[in-house]
Amino acid sequence: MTAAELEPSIAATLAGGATVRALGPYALRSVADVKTALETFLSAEAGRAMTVSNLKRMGGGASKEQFVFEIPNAESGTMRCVLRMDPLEAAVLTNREREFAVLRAMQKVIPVPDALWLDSKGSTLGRPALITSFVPGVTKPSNITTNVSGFGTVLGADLRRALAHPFIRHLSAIHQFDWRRLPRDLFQAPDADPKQAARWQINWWTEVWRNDALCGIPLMGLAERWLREHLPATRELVLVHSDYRTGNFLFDEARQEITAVLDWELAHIGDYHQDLAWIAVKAWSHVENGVLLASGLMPIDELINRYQAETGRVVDRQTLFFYQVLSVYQCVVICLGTSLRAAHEAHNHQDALLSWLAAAGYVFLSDLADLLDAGALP
Amino acid sequence: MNPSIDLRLRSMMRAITEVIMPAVDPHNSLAQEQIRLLLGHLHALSLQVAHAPDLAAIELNELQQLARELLAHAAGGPATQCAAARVTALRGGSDHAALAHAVEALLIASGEDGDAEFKHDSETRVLAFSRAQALRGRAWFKAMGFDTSPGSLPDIPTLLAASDRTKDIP
Repeated sequence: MTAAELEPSIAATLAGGATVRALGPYALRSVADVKTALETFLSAEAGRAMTVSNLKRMGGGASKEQFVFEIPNAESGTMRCVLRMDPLEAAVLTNREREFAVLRAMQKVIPVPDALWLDSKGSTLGRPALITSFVPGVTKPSNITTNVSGFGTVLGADLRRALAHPFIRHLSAIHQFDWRRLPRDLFQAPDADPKQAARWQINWWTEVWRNDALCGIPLMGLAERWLREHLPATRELVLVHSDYRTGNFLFDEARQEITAVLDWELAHIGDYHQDLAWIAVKAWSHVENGVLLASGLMPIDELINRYQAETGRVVDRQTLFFYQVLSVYQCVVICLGTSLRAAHEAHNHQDALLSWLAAAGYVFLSDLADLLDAGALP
Repeated sequence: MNPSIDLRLRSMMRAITEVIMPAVDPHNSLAQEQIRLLLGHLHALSLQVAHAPDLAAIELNELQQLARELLAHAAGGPATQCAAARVTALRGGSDHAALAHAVEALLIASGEDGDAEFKHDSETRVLAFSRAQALRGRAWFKAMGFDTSPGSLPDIPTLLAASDRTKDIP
């Protein structure tokens, strides 16, 4: 693989990850330390003394160290904010500067948290971090119990009916966004040839697998071979959210409205089929009356029909299948590759969660075998 | 040896449930989540610990069998041949991770210059191996609650008793 076949910003992020691999265990920051660092950072940004109150760690998530806190606000008295900070390693290796830039770009396009401040190098906060507004809402109905990271979320029929349309409408708005407005130094477009978008994705995730896997898995070799032999041509490049699913948006239970789309760290310029395939991954879908509801919201055929009607784009079934294979491959990389590696190196603040999440990798392996069997070589 | 591993695991779970959990700040959501994860890990470990050596032996044996089958049919250009040589060097050893990496690399290399017949044959064999491997993993970790059809999975003793891969591939 040549360097030109990976998005340069992603290549730089992965190279940066390699430099932390040799470091010792990640030391959990005390809340008091974080408060001091936050007040120093915010005071410098505001040009006046800033006081942080009610700083608390947040649970959930499988990637970043997250805190919620309040700062004084002239209009409302106080403003709640969220700090997202990199541990040394996590379930995925991503770049806060990219996440901040895409969040900024999405303001006024769809509901997202306000991107407020960025410490891209962690020069004041200790680790690369961004600060957003706190958006009220839940990622799952409050009366159900789920596994980590949104696995096993079941939405009731009323909620499905209410959320399905905005879910598609927001996806359409993301894909409609003119990605040329994103900072070119952070987001590069795979426009050299029609297959570059798919090739960049394969090269990204196979490199992560090679960097992180503690133990080889023959099926991952077979899957990589299959993916490289079935590269689809991209019809139209769009901004791909890349983790768009139930569990990654907030909604208001009473009003049954989506209040914010979250988790933008994997966003990139690519093929719109990638988001559709990700929505339909079985782990965050569920089966009702023998029908798989993609992201627990609607059958896959309905998802495709609604998307086509909303956007005017054509969904190509073969391209969708390619990205379904890639999506599940990516899930195995995240679970049995990067999460396990981060726990193995003691490089995360919640190794117990990452080693728990890794077990899901075998469910994804089973799904990957099913998909490759369905798309067997002629 | 007493105290047994099972007894010690159960003692830890009880201490967490009855002493530590009530003492943790109910508003500290990270700590609450971590406590539940610890309990979950300990429960899963209690189901697995007696069977771990058997599972490791089965996993290595199955991988070595797959490596032998692939090597018997491996054919292609320099990339395939080089990757096959690496598998040959590791196939009889006990380093599961290294052999698994080498088998994976052989499959990737065959995408560059492997013969069509080997590619077809290896796909059939790797899919059969992988179905068994994934089933073992899903059953082994069933207690962790990720599976979408846990009722279809065997318990661990049943899984291990029936773990030999069906030898229906010539």
